[in-house]
Amino acid sequence: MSRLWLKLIRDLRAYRVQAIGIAVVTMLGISMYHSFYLSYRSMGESYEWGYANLRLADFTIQLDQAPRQTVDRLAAVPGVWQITGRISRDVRVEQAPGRRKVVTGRVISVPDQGELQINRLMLLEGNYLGPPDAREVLLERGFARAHDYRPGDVIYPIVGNLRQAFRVAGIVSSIEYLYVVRSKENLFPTPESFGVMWMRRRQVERLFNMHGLVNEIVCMTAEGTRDRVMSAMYADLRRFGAMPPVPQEEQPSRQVLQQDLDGLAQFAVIFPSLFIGAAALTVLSILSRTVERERRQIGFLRASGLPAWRVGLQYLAFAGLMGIVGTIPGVLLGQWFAIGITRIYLTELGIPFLRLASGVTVALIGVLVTLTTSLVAGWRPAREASRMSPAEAMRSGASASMRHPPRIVARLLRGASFTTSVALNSLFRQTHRTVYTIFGVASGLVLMITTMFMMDALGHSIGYYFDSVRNYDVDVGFAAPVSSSVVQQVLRWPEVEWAEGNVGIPVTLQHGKDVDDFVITGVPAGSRLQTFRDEQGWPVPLIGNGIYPANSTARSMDIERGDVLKLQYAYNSRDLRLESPVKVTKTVRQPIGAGIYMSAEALQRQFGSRLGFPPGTIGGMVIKAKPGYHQAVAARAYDLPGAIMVETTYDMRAEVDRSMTMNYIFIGILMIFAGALTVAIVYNTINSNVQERRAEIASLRALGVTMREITRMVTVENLASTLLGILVGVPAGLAGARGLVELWQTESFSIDFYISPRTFIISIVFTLVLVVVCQIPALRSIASMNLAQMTRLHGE
Amino acid sequence: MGKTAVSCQDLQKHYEMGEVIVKALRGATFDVPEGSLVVLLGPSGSGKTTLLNIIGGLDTPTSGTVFVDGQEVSKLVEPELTQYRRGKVGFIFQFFNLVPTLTAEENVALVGELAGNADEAADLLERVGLGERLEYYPAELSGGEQQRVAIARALIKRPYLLLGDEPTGNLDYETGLMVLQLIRDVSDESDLTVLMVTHNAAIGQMADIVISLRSGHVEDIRQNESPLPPSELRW
Repeated sequence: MSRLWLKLIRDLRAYRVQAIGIAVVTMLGISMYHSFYLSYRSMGESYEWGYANLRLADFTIQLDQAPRQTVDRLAAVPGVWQITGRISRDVRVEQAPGRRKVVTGRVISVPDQGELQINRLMLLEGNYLGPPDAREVLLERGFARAHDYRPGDVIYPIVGNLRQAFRVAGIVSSIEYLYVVRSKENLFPTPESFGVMWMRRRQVERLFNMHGLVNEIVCMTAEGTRDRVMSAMYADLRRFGAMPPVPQEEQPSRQVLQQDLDGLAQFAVIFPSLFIGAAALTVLSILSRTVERERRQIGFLRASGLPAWRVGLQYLAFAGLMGIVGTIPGVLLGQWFAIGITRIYLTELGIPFLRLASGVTVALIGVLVTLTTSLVAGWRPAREASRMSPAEAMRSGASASMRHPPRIVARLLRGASFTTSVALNSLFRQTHRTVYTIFGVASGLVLMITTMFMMDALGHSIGYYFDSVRNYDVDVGFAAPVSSSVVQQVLRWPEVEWAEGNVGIPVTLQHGKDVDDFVITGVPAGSRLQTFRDEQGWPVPLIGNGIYPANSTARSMDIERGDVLKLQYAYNSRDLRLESPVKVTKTVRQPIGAGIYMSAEALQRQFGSRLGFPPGTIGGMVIKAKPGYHQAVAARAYDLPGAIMVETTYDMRAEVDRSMTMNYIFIGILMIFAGALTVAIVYNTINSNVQERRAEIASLRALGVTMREITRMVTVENLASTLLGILVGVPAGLAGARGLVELWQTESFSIDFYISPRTFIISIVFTLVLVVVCQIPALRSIASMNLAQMTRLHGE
Repeated sequence: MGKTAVSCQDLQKHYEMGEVIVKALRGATFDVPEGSLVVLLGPSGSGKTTLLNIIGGLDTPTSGTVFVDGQEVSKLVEPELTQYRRGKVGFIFQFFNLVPTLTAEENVALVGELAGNADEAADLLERVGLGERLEYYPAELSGGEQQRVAIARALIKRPYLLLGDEPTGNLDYETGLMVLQLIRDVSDESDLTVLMVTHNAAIGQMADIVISLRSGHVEDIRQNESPLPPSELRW
């Protein structure tokens, strides 16, 4: 091996503390990238495997109702591979006589013979459905788990005030309801109050008196024909009140999972980039210091005829090696984390199949990115080394970074103690040291603030939604419009503090090329329980004939105040056709879920008479219960005539918190990574700060300066440059958080930009304490060093 | 005396230090015959290190010419200068500039590799009296031993010209004498041209030629008919 390469390896050993520091930083960065990106790909592959093998429908069309023969006719449409007509209806479910927990069950029909061929079910417990006459039901696992149903238990759907009894044959997981949500307006699964169950067709027809009818079509098509088939079927089915088809990618469960995946993909790129960027800064800082320290050696090697490019290569290789050392443990750690994260995630969602993506490509990309980043970071110091004039490099005491402190500093320091004055002057004299410390501290702060911000913002957004936007305890939905007098009736209940009616119509909104389906919720004027604010926090009363989209909805539709959209009733048919332009009055702040709001009066005035909910009727109701009575009110609400859905805010919040668990786990992992990385960066920086002063400190000690005074001097300088780092790091962290919040917005989330003061306090105090602690090992080693030897080597 | 090893004609070197122009050399002219040991003598700031750096190809003159072994060094630019240093010049510095993470033998072999003579490292260390210290790191060697490693390192390239910048400046008297003896021996045994910079007038007594510098001028060139052996030098 050439002596130059030998020198490289020995240098790595000599600078092992720094090398280990960089290896740790790199390891954290690459393991985070590897674990998150591999989890993202594994989950994506698992879902895709599920969608393909369990045959998630290419599209679904809901309709009022149509004869079953229609399905046979549609099967002949060219391109149709498989088609099923089914009945899907929501019913009220009682779990057992006397148990008043309120639940909505979605009943879906299964062919009388055999199993589902589209949107297949996976049997997790018990048995599949028996013959058509058996009064049996399969329950979705989340719902079964929430209510502790086991095979053999009995469940009681209530149709037309009649309680029916069905035996639970088995517990299943459905590819269509991997994420059990009612609709895209309700993207949080609430298994406490909503569940899905499957019955033989004959039973469902009897239950709903829908003999020979279907109200939903699910279809799979030959490759490349979907859109054509979908359009043809929609055109055909409009006379049966068909709603616009829902293609697979817009299917609510798949959409939510995809949003989750997209979020994970962003996590997988943004944070590791931050981490690897921080590692690069550390490489830059350490290598620059190494080059500075080895000026004489570089000068000599150049004087001996070593070409400039070879000197540069030496330091570039040093940077590359420092970067690469951490990649192997990083990849291994990342692989382990990835399997864990994917497994936890899939288990949490109840997805029983795991397809672990190949980690080879992910690892290679990670190694390549890390290596490239290290080399880019090492480029500048390596170039400096190669461009060093040998004569200049060997000149005693030569240093490019020595400066004079500004005069004002000298004046300010007049009267300060010797140690303080030396320490603070050093900030300006050793600018490279000050700059590296500022970079190191700022990088650590950016990492801590951005990760802690996510926790703050999520908590704040959820809190705002439940405390301000959704200021009610119970949400009631009626199967058909009812008289608004029911509100007066509910207001008389002793457990109720306030109640308000509302109305909703399903519509299709078009803005330019963007078309999407929504339910417009009409909220009464002066509502106490549904209050809205704009982005600036000002109250927004719902007035006039315009609509008020939630900010996430406005973003996904690319609409803003003043835009005019085309509104169509979702169930437009030959007999009933409703189309109208509608203006966006203002967007309203709503962190969770999509939504479009309007004045109830205006909604009823414009569309109510034609759609069967004229003024004086309501389609739903929200209720504020007296403290401690929300479950009692919910139970009573189910007894209201026509009530089909009762949901408590308490349950929903619990479910939101539960579904946020994964987010919190991710953020928690990120915070641990960020904390560890900050420790590594600050340790590297501060340790280098002290180590590069060994000779200087040795001289001071030889002159009789005590270790106590030296410690004070070093601490004052480090803390002063840390404060400068804080001044840079806090705004940089804020900017990072602001950038992150932009990336974090989805169709169902509109996260607030909020950072708690606690975050600033924790990250700043943590950094200051860390700086003081990190200098201890280096100071101890200096305290124990051989003064004679150190002073002898001084100048080399 | 035979062929001229080094020839400097009207060498000038100006540095810009902010708005001030420092004239380090103001027209130095002299010749050095091959195989001679020359001492460049002068006080601090006289331009002797600048002159050595220019002759060694570490720096370039503002004007004037330098020929070494018939090659016009003053015309060279990088990477020709690198090739020149690699092939023709060996350096010894006041601060030994050893690589602290390499052993004595490895330090010598490191430079030997540049010339393709790495195998001779141990022999050379033996020759400078460090045969027992091959595996020692610089921190484990005394100042004199470190400088002897530096001499071995300079010699391994079999240079045409050996340049020493205050090679005893960082050594005590006894060790300094030992190093000077080594340089004298090397010069005599290999018929090597040696240029050594010092501010110590006593060292001039061991030289074949003493070139005195003052304020960038060559003040005096003195031929030493009977150089003293280094062991007889006193300061």
